[in-house]
Amino acid sequence: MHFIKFFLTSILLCLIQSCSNSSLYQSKNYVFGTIVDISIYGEDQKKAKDATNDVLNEFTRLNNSLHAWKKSTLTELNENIRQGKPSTHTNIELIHIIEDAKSLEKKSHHLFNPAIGELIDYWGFHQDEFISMHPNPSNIQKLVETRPSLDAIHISSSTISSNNRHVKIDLGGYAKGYALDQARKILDQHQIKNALINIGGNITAIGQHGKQPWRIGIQDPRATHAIAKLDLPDGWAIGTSGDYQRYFIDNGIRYCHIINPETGYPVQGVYSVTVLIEPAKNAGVLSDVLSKPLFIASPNDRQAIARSLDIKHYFIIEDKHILMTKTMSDKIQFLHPDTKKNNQIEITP
Amino acid sequence: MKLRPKFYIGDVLILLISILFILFTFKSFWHFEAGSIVQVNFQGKVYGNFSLFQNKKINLTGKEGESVIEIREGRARFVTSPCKNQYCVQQGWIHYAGQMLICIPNEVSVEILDKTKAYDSLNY
Repeated sequence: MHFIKFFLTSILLCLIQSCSNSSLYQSKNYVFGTIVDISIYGEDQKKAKDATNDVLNEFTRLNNSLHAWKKSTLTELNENIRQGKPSTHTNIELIHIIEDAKSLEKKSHHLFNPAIGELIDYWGFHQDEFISMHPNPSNIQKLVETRPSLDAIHISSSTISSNNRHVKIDLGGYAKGYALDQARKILDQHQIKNALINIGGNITAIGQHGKQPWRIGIQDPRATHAIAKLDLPDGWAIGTSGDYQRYFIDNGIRYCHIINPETGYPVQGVYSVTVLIEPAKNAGVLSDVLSKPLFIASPNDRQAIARSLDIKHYFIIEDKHILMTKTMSDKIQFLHPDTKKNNQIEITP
Repeated sequence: MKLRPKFYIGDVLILLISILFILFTFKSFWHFEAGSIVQVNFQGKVYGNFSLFQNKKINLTGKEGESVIEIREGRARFVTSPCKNQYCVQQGWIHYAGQMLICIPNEVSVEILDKTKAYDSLNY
Protein backbone atom coordinates (compact mmCIF):
# COMPACT_ATOMS: atom_id res chain seq x y z
CA MET A 1 0.00 0.00 0.00
CA HIS A 2 2.87 2.36 0.84
CA PHE A 3 4.30 1.67 -2.55
CA ILE A 4 1.06 2.70 -4.25
CA LYS A 5 0.85 5.86 -2.18
CA PHE A 6 4.39 6.72 -3.14
CA PHE A 7 3.64 6.07 -6.78
CA LEU A 8 0.48 8.17 -6.77
CA THR A 9 2.16 11.07 -5.01
CA SER A 10 5.08 11.08 -7.40
CA ILE A 11 2.77 11.07 -10.42
CA LEU A 12 0.74 13.89 -8.89
CA LEU A 13 3.94 15.88 -8.34
CA CYS A 14 4.99 15.27 -11.93
CA LEU A 15 1.62 16.48 -13.19
CA ILE A 16 1.76 19.60 -11.03
CA GLN A 17 5.26 20.25 -12.32
CA SER A 18 4.16 19.89 -15.92
CA CYS A 19 1.21 22.20 -15.34
CA SER A 20 3.37 24.95 -13.91
CA ASN A 21 5.78 24.61 -16.83
CA SER A 22 3.09 25.35 -19.32
CA SER A 23 1.70 28.46 -17.64
CA LEU A 24 3.20 30.81 -20.16
CA TYR A 25 0.79 33.30 -21.67
CA GLN A 26 1.95 34.78 -24.96
CA SER A 27 0.43 37.38 -27.23
CA LYS A 28 1.56 38.94 -30.47
CA ASN A 29 0.01 42.16 -31.70
CA TYR A 30 0.73 44.96 -34.12
CA VAL A 31 1.21 48.41 -32.61
CA PHE A 32 3.77 51.17 -33.35
CA GLY A 33 4.06 49.75 -36.86
CA THR A 34 5.76 46.67 -35.51
CA ILE A 35 5.17 43.49 -33.53
CA VAL A 36 4.44 43.72 -29.83
CA ASP A 37 5.23 40.44 -28.15
CA ILE A 38 4.18 39.96 -24.51
CA SER A 39 4.97 36.85 -22.47
CA ILE A 40 3.65 36.38 -18.95
CA TYR A 41 4.80 33.49 -16.85
CA GLY A 42 3.19 31.74 -13.91
CA GLU A 43 -0.17 33.52 -13.81
CA ASP A 44 -3.57 32.17 -14.71
CA GLN A 45 -4.62 32.87 -18.27
CA LYS A 46 -7.44 35.25 -17.37
CA LYS A 47 -5.24 37.47 -15.22
CA ALA A 48 -2.48 37.45 -17.82
CA LYS A 49 -4.95 38.30 -20.58
CA ASP A 50 -6.47 41.22 -18.65
CA ALA A 51 -3.04 42.65 -17.90
CA THR A 52 -1.94 42.22 -21.53
CA ASN A 53 -5.05 44.01 -22.77
CA ASP A 54 -4.39 46.96 -20.48
CA VAL A 55 -0.81 47.14 -21.75
CA LEU A 56 -1.95 46.98 -25.39
CA ASN A 57 -4.55 49.72 -24.80
CA GLU A 58 -1.83 51.90 -23.34
CA PHE A 59 0.38 51.21 -26.38
CA THR A 60 -2.42 52.14 -28.74
CA ARG A 61 -3.02 55.36 -26.79
CA LEU A 62 0.69 56.25 -26.99
CA ASN A 63 0.84 55.41 -30.68
CA ASN A 64 -2.13 57.71 -31.35
CA SER A 65 -0.61 60.48 -29.28
CA LEU A 66 3.03 60.26 -30.43
CA HIS A 67 2.76 59.16 -34.05
CA ALA A 68 5.21 61.07 -36.25
CA TRP A 69 3.16 61.27 -39.45
CA LYS A 70 -0.41 60.15 -38.83
CA LYS A 71 -2.57 62.78 -37.13
CA SER A 72 -1.62 62.81 -33.44
CA THR A 73 -1.01 65.19 -30.55
CA LEU A 74 2.57 65.34 -31.77
CA THR A 75 1.73 66.16 -35.40
CA GLU A 76 -0.53 68.97 -34.16
CA LEU A 77 2.37 70.37 -32.18
CA ASN A 78 4.65 70.07 -35.21
CA GLU A 79 2.12 71.87 -37.37
CA ASN A 80 1.99 74.76 -34.86
CA ILE A 81 5.79 74.93 -34.83
CA ARG A 82 5.83 75.09 -38.64
CA GLN A 83 3.38 77.98 -38.59
CA GLY A 84 5.34 79.71 -35.82
CA LYS A 85 2.46 79.42 -33.37
CA PRO A 86 2.82 78.40 -29.72
CA SER A 87 0.86 75.32 -28.59
CA THR A 88 -1.15 76.01 -25.47
CA HIS A 89 -2.68 73.51 -23.03
CA THR A 90 -0.30 70.78 -24.14
CA ASN A 91 -0.81 67.64 -22.09
CA ILE A 92 1.60 67.15 -19.24
CA GLU A 93 2.81 63.77 -20.49
CA LEU A 94 3.98 65.18 -23.83
CA ILE A 95 5.73 68.02 -22.01
CA HIS A 96 7.60 65.57 -19.79
CA ILE A 97 8.56 63.47 -22.81
CA ILE A 98 9.87 66.48 -24.75
CA GLU A 99 11.82 67.76 -21.74
CA ASP A 100 13.36 64.33 -21.25
CA ALA A 101 14.17 63.95 -24.95
CA LYS A 102 15.69 67.42 -24.92
CA SER A 103 18.06 66.55 -22.08
CA LEU A 104 19.01 63.26 -23.77
CA GLU A 105 19.74 65.16 -26.98
CA LYS A 106 22.09 67.46 -25.09
CA LYS A 107 23.83 64.57 -23.27
CA SER A 108 24.36 62.73 -26.56
CA HIS A 109 26.03 65.81 -28.10
CA HIS A 110 23.02 66.10 -30.45
CA LEU A 111 23.62 62.71 -32.05
CA PHE A 112 20.25 61.60 -30.71
CA ASN A 113 18.22 64.38 -32.25
CA PRO A 114 14.41 63.98 -32.29
CA ALA A 115 13.96 67.34 -34.05
CA ILE A 116 15.06 66.16 -37.51
CA GLY A 117 11.62 65.07 -38.69
CA GLU A 118 11.99 67.09 -41.92
CA LEU A 119 15.11 65.12 -42.84
CA ILE A 120 13.51 61.79 -42.00
CA ASP A 121 10.49 62.80 -44.06
CA TYR A 122 12.76 63.88 -46.94
CA TRP A 123 14.35 60.44 -46.99
CA GLY A 124 10.89 58.92 -47.27
CA PHE A 125 10.76 57.20 -43.90
CA HIS A 126 7.56 58.93 -42.79
CA GLN A 127 5.43 56.28 -44.44
CA ASP A 128 4.41 52.81 -43.40
CA GLU A 129 5.87 51.45 -46.60
CA PHE A 130 8.44 53.76 -48.03
CA ILE A 131 9.81 53.64 -51.53
CA SER A 132 13.41 54.09 -52.60
CA MET A 133 14.41 57.58 -53.73
CA HIS A 134 17.38 59.37 -55.24
CA PRO A 135 18.84 61.75 -52.66
CA ASN A 136 19.61 65.27 -53.86
CA PRO A 137 22.72 66.60 -52.03
CA SER A 138 21.73 70.25 -52.20
CA ASN A 139 18.28 69.58 -50.71
CA ILE A 140 19.89 67.63 -47.92
CA GLN A 141 22.39 70.41 -47.30
CA LYS A 142 19.53 72.93 -47.01
CA LEU A 143 17.73 70.75 -44.47
CA VAL A 144 20.90 70.29 -42.39
CA GLU A 145 21.51 74.05 -42.42
CA THR A 146 18.14 74.71 -40.80
CA ARG A 147 19.86 73.25 -37.68
CA PRO A 148 16.81 71.59 -36.13
CA SER A 149 17.27 70.84 -32.44
CA LEU A 150 15.07 70.48 -29.37
CA ASP A 151 17.22 73.30 -27.95
CA ALA A 152 14.94 75.61 -29.91
CA ILE A 153 11.91 74.39 -27.95
CA HIS A 154 10.72 76.50 -25.04
CA ILE A 155 8.31 75.25 -22.45
CA SER A 156 6.51 77.42 -19.93
CA SER A 157 3.81 75.70 -17.90
CA SER A 158 1.64 74.04 -20.58
CA THR A 159 2.77 76.12 -23.54
CA ILE A 160 5.31 74.84 -26.05
CA SER A 161 6.93 77.10 -28.60
CA SER A 162 9.91 76.92 -30.88
CA ASN A 163 12.16 79.66 -32.24
CA ASN A 164 13.05 77.42 -35.19
CA ARG A 165 10.19 76.62 -37.55
CA HIS A 166 12.16 73.71 -39.02
CA VAL A 167 11.92 71.70 -35.83
CA LYS A 168 9.76 68.69 -36.60
CA ILE A 169 9.68 66.37 -33.64
CA ASP A 170 9.92 62.64 -34.38
CA LEU A 171 9.95 60.38 -31.32
CA GLY A 172 10.64 57.22 -33.31
CA GLY A 173 13.75 56.64 -31.23
CA TYR A 174 12.03 57.24 -27.91
CA ALA A 175 8.38 56.22 -27.93
CA LYS A 176 8.83 52.44 -27.91
CA GLY A 177 11.21 52.68 -24.97
CA TYR A 178 8.80 54.95 -23.13
CA ALA A 179 6.04 52.42 -23.83
CA LEU A 180 8.18 49.68 -22.24
CA ASP A 181 8.47 51.71 -19.04
CA GLN A 182 4.70 52.28 -19.06
CA ALA A 183 4.08 48.56 -19.61
CA ARG A 184 6.23 47.77 -16.61
CA LYS A 185 4.08 50.08 -14.42
CA ILE A 186 0.83 48.55 -15.69
CA LEU A 187 1.99 44.98 -15.17
CA ASP A 188 3.14 45.94 -11.70
CA GLN A 189 -0.35 47.31 -10.92
CA HIS A 190 -1.74 43.95 -12.05
CA GLN A 191 0.73 42.25 -9.72
CA ILE A 192 2.31 40.34 -12.56
CA LYS A 193 5.65 39.11 -11.26
CA ASN A 194 7.15 37.54 -14.36
CA ALA A 195 6.85 39.00 -17.84
CA LEU A 196 8.80 39.85 -20.95
CA ILE A 197 7.72 42.73 -23.17
CA ASN A 198 9.11 43.11 -26.67
CA ILE A 199 8.15 46.10 -28.83
CA GLY A 200 9.76 45.74 -32.22
CA GLY A 201 12.94 44.36 -30.70
CA ASN A 202 13.14 46.65 -27.68
CA ILE A 203 12.75 44.39 -24.69
CA THR A 204 12.40 44.65 -20.93
CA ALA A 205 12.15 41.86 -18.39
CA ILE A 206 10.11 41.56 -15.23
CA GLY A 207 11.04 38.68 -12.91
CA GLN A 208 12.07 35.56 -14.75
CA HIS A 209 10.91 32.57 -16.77
CA GLY A 210 10.41 29.96 -14.05
CA LYS A 211 13.71 29.04 -12.49
CA GLN A 212 15.76 30.73 -15.22
CA PRO A 213 16.10 34.35 -16.23
CA TRP A 214 14.37 35.43 -19.45
CA ARG A 215 16.59 34.64 -22.40
CA ILE A 216 16.99 37.00 -25.32
CA GLY A 217 18.29 36.29 -28.79
CA ILE A 218 20.12 39.06 -30.63
CA GLN A 219 19.29 39.16 -34.32
CA ASP A 220 22.07 38.60 -36.83
CA PRO A 221 21.74 41.73 -39.01
CA ARG A 222 22.60 39.84 -42.19
CA ALA A 223 20.72 36.59 -41.61
CA THR A 224 17.31 35.35 -40.51
CA HIS A 225 18.48 33.90 -37.21
CA ALA A 226 19.92 35.07 -33.91
CA ILE A 227 23.67 35.61 -33.66
CA ALA A 228 23.90 35.45 -29.88
CA LYS A 229 21.85 35.09 -26.74
CA LEU A 230 21.96 36.51 -23.26
CA ASP A 231 20.03 36.46 -20.00
CA LEU A 232 17.93 39.52 -19.29
CA PRO A 233 17.52 39.76 -15.51
CA ASP A 234 14.64 41.48 -13.71
CA GLY A 235 14.46 45.19 -14.50
CA TRP A 236 17.00 45.18 -17.33
CA ALA A 237 16.23 46.37 -20.84
CA ILE A 238 17.84 45.83 -24.23
CA GLY A 239 17.55 47.73 -27.48
CA THR A 240 19.09 47.59 -30.93
CA SER A 241 19.47 50.07 -33.75
CA GLY A 242 20.04 48.39 -37.06
CA ASP A 243 20.29 49.08 -40.77
CA TYR A 244 18.28 45.98 -41.67
CA GLN A 245 14.69 46.71 -40.61
CA ARG A 246 13.83 49.97 -42.34
CA TYR A 247 16.03 50.68 -45.33
CA PHE A 248 16.03 50.90 -49.10
CA ILE A 249 18.71 50.29 -51.68
CA ASP A 250 19.38 52.83 -54.43
CA ASN A 251 22.16 52.26 -56.97
CA GLY A 252 23.54 49.47 -54.83
CA ILE A 253 23.82 51.70 -51.75
CA ARG A 254 21.93 50.83 -48.62
CA TYR A 255 20.11 53.76 -46.99
CA CYS A 256 18.79 52.95 -43.52
CA HIS A 257 16.33 54.96 -41.43
CA ILE A 258 18.92 56.21 -38.93
CA ILE A 259 20.08 59.60 -40.14
CA ASN A 260 23.15 61.44 -38.94
CA PRO A 261 21.85 64.92 -37.99
CA GLU A 262 25.24 66.46 -38.79
CA THR A 263 25.47 65.21 -42.38
CA GLY A 264 21.80 64.65 -43.16
CA TYR A 265 22.65 61.21 -44.59
CA PRO A 266 21.74 57.76 -43.32
CA VAL A 267 24.54 56.08 -41.38
CA GLN A 268 26.53 53.67 -43.48
CA GLY A 269 28.79 50.78 -42.56
CA VAL A 270 27.30 49.91 -39.17
CA TYR A 271 25.01 46.88 -39.24
CA SER A 272 23.67 47.05 -35.71
CA VAL A 273 24.27 48.49 -32.25
CA THR A 274 22.81 46.80 -29.20
CA VAL A 275 22.76 48.37 -25.75
CA LEU A 276 21.96 46.59 -22.52
CA ILE A 277 20.61 48.83 -19.74
CA GLU A 278 20.73 48.14 -16.02
CA PRO A 279 17.55 48.46 -13.92
CA ALA A 280 16.29 52.04 -13.72
CA LYS A 281 12.91 53.76 -13.75
CA ASN A 282 13.55 54.77 -17.36
CA ALA A 283 15.47 51.67 -18.49
CA GLY A 284 13.08 51.25 -21.42
CA VAL A 285 13.66 54.79 -22.70
CA LEU A 286 17.41 54.42 -22.30
CA SER A 287 17.42 51.10 -24.18
CA ASP A 288 15.65 52.79 -27.09
CA VAL A 289 17.55 56.09 -27.13
CA LEU A 290 21.13 55.17 -26.28
CA SER A 291 21.78 52.85 -29.21
CA LYS A 292 21.33 55.80 -31.62
CA PRO A 293 24.33 57.99 -30.60
CA LEU A 294 26.57 54.90 -30.76
CA PHE A 295 25.16 53.97 -34.15
CA ILE A 296 25.77 57.47 -35.52
CA ALA A 297 29.10 58.34 -33.84
CA SER A 298 32.26 57.81 -35.83
CA PRO A 299 34.19 54.71 -34.67
CA ASN A 300 36.83 56.87 -32.96
CA ASP A 301 34.25 58.69 -30.85
CA ARG A 302 32.36 55.64 -29.63
CA GLN A 303 34.22 55.12 -26.38
CA ALA A 304 33.90 58.79 -25.40
CA ILE A 305 30.17 58.79 -26.25
CA ALA A 306 29.59 55.60 -24.29
CA ARG A 307 31.44 57.08 -21.32
CA SER A 308 29.54 60.38 -21.36
CA LEU A 309 26.19 58.58 -21.65
CA ASP A 310 27.22 55.95 -19.10
CA ILE A 311 26.57 53.02 -21.47
CA LYS A 312 28.29 50.07 -19.82
CA HIS A 313 27.15 47.29 -22.11
CA TYR A 314 27.18 47.58 -25.86
CA PHE A 315 27.59 45.27 -28.82
CA ILE A 316 28.30 46.60 -32.33
CA ILE A 317 28.24 44.54 -35.53
CA GLU A 318 29.94 45.77 -38.70
CA ASP A 319 31.30 44.02 -41.77
CA LYS A 320 33.42 41.13 -40.42
CA HIS A 321 33.93 43.04 -37.20
CA ILE A 322 32.23 42.80 -33.82
CA LEU A 323 32.99 45.29 -31.08
CA MET A 324 31.77 44.97 -27.51
CA THR A 325 32.57 45.98 -23.97
CA LYS A 326 34.17 43.49 -21.61
CA THR A 327 31.02 43.50 -19.44
CA MET A 328 28.92 42.68 -22.51
CA SER A 329 31.21 39.87 -23.64
CA ASP A 330 30.86 38.29 -20.18
CA LYS A 331 27.11 38.18 -20.65
CA ILE A 332 26.56 37.06 -24.23
CA GLN A 333 26.97 33.72 -25.84
CA PHE A 334 27.40 33.29 -29.58
CA LEU A 335 25.05 30.72 -31.07
CA HIS A 336 27.13 29.67 -34.08
CA PRO A 337 30.80 28.69 -33.98
CA ASP A 338 31.31 30.38 -37.37
CA THR A 339 30.64 33.81 -35.92
CA LYS A 340 33.95 33.83 -34.06
CA LYS A 341 35.75 32.45 -37.11
CA ASN A 342 34.32 34.90 -39.63
CA ASN A 343 34.53 38.09 -37.59
CA GLN A 344 37.31 39.96 -35.92
CA ILE A 345 36.08 40.28 -32.35
CA GLU A 346 37.27 43.33 -30.47
CA ILE A 347 36.66 43.80 -26.77
CA THR A 348 36.99 47.23 -25.18
CA PRO A 349 37.47 47.76 -21.45
CA MET B 1 -3.28 -28.33 -3.98
CA LYS B 2 -4.95 -25.90 -6.23
CA LEU B 3 -3.30 -22.52 -6.77
CA ARG B 4 -5.96 -19.98 -7.47
CA PRO B 5 -4.53 -16.86 -9.05
CA LYS B 6 -5.45 -14.00 -6.82
CA PHE B 7 -5.99 -10.64 -8.39
CA TYR B 8 -6.06 -7.85 -5.90
CA ILE B 9 -7.11 -4.29 -6.43
CA GLY B 10 -3.49 -3.33 -5.84
CA ASP B 11 -2.44 -5.22 -8.96
CA VAL B 12 -4.98 -3.32 -11.02
CA LEU B 13 -3.77 -0.06 -9.57
CA ILE B 14 -0.15 -0.86 -10.31
CA LEU B 15 -1.01 -1.71 -13.90
CA LEU B 16 -3.11 1.39 -14.32
CA ILE B 17 -0.52 3.65 -12.75
CA SER B 18 2.26 2.14 -14.84
CA ILE B 19 0.31 2.79 -18.02
CA LEU B 20 -0.41 6.36 -16.93
CA PHE B 21 3.23 6.81 -16.02
CA ILE B 22 4.39 5.58 -19.42
CA LEU B 23 1.93 7.86 -21.21
CA PHE B 24 3.02 10.76 -19.07
CA THR B 25 6.73 10.25 -19.66
CA PHE B 26 6.12 9.96 -23.39
CA LYS B 27 4.19 13.17 -23.39
CA SER B 28 6.73 15.15 -21.42
CA PHE B 29 10.02 13.74 -22.66
CA TRP B 30 9.27 13.02 -26.31
CA HIS B 31 10.82 16.00 -28.03
CA PHE B 32 10.24 16.97 -31.60
CA GLU B 33 13.21 17.18 -33.89
CA ALA B 34 14.77 20.61 -33.77
CA GLY B 35 12.56 22.91 -35.79
CA SER B 36 9.79 20.59 -36.86
CA ILE B 37 6.81 22.86 -36.29
CA VAL B 38 6.04 26.18 -37.86
CA GLN B 39 3.72 28.65 -36.20
CA VAL B 40 1.81 31.08 -38.36
CA ASN B 41 0.55 34.23 -36.66
CA PHE B 42 -2.08 36.31 -38.39
CA GLN B 43 -3.55 39.62 -37.18
CA GLY B 44 -2.27 39.14 -33.65
CA LYS B 45 -3.54 35.60 -33.19
CA VAL B 46 -2.05 32.17 -33.73
CA TYR B 47 -3.43 31.08 -37.08
CA GLY B 48 -2.07 27.59 -36.67
CA ASN B 49 0.85 25.31 -35.95
CA PHE B 50 1.90 23.16 -38.89
CA SER B 51 4.35 20.32 -39.26
CA LEU B 52 7.32 21.30 -41.41
CA PHE B 53 7.43 17.83 -42.88
CA GLN B 54 4.67 18.25 -45.39
CA ASN B 55 4.13 20.18 -48.57
CA LYS B 56 1.54 22.83 -47.99
CA LYS B 57 0.57 26.28 -49.08
CA ILE B 58 -1.24 28.66 -46.75
CA ASN B 59 -3.14 31.61 -48.18
CA LEU B 60 -3.99 34.45 -45.84
CA THR B 61 -5.98 37.50 -46.87
CA GLY B 62 -5.11 40.47 -44.70
CA LYS B 63 -5.49 44.23 -44.87
CA GLU B 64 -3.04 44.56 -47.76
CA GLY B 65 -4.11 41.54 -49.74
CA GLU B 66 -3.07 37.93 -50.00
CA SER B 67 0.09 36.47 -48.42
CA VAL B 68 1.11 33.00 -49.51
CA ILE B 69 3.27 30.87 -47.22
CA GLU B 70 4.83 27.66 -48.43
CA ILE B 71 5.97 24.72 -46.34
CA ARG B 72 8.18 22.18 -48.07
CA GLU B 73 10.84 19.67 -47.01
CA GLY B 74 11.26 20.96 -43.48
CA ARG B 75 11.38 24.62 -44.43
CA ALA B 76 8.99 27.54 -44.71
CA ARG B 77 8.92 30.79 -46.69
CA PHE B 78 6.75 33.57 -48.03
CA VAL B 79 6.04 32.85 -51.70
CA THR B 80 4.20 36.09 -52.40
CA SER B 81 3.17 39.03 -50.31
CA PRO B 82 1.10 42.11 -51.09
CA CYS B 83 3.50 44.48 -49.27
CA LYS B 84 5.67 46.99 -51.12
CA ASN B 85 9.05 46.24 -49.62
CA GLN B 86 8.92 42.44 -50.00
CA TYR B 87 11.40 41.86 -47.14
CA CYS B 88 9.47 38.80 -46.04
CA VAL B 89 9.75 37.20 -49.49
CA GLN B 90 13.38 38.19 -49.98
CA GLN B 91 14.47 36.50 -46.76
CA GLY B 92 13.76 33.16 -48.39
CA TRP B 93 13.50 29.86 -46.56
CA ILE B 94 13.80 29.38 -42.80
CA HIS B 95 14.26 26.08 -41.02
CA TYR B 96 16.07 26.48 -37.69
CA ALA B 97 14.14 26.71 -34.45
CA GLY B 98 13.69 30.35 -33.46
CA GLN B 99 13.93 31.70 -36.99
CA MET B 100 11.17 34.07 -37.93
CA LEU B 101 9.78 35.87 -40.95
CA ILE B 102 7.55 38.88 -40.41
CA CYS B 103 5.36 40.78 -42.81
CA ILE B 104 4.31 43.81 -40.75
CA PRO B 105 2.03 45.48 -43.34
CA ASN B 106 -0.10 42.39 -43.75
CA GLU B 107 0.28 41.34 -40.09
CA VAL B 108 1.63 37.87 -40.78
CA SER B 109 4.53 36.20 -39.02
CA VAL B 110 6.00 32.75 -39.52
CA GLU B 111 8.12 31.26 -36.76
CA ILE B 112 9.88 27.92 -36.45
CA LEU B 113 9.10 26.48 -33.04
CA ASP B 114 11.07 24.10 -30.93
CA LYS B 115 10.60 22.91 -27.39
CA THR B 116 14.19 23.71 -26.59
CA LYS B 117 14.22 27.18 -28.04
CA ALA B 118 17.49 28.96 -27.37
CA TYR B 119 15.72 32.10 -26.15
CA ASP B 120 12.34 33.51 -25.12
CA SER B 121 12.24 36.57 -27.34
CA LEU B 122 14.29 38.21 -30.06
CA ASN B 123 16.01 41.60 -29.93
CA TYR B 124 16.33 43.17 -33.36
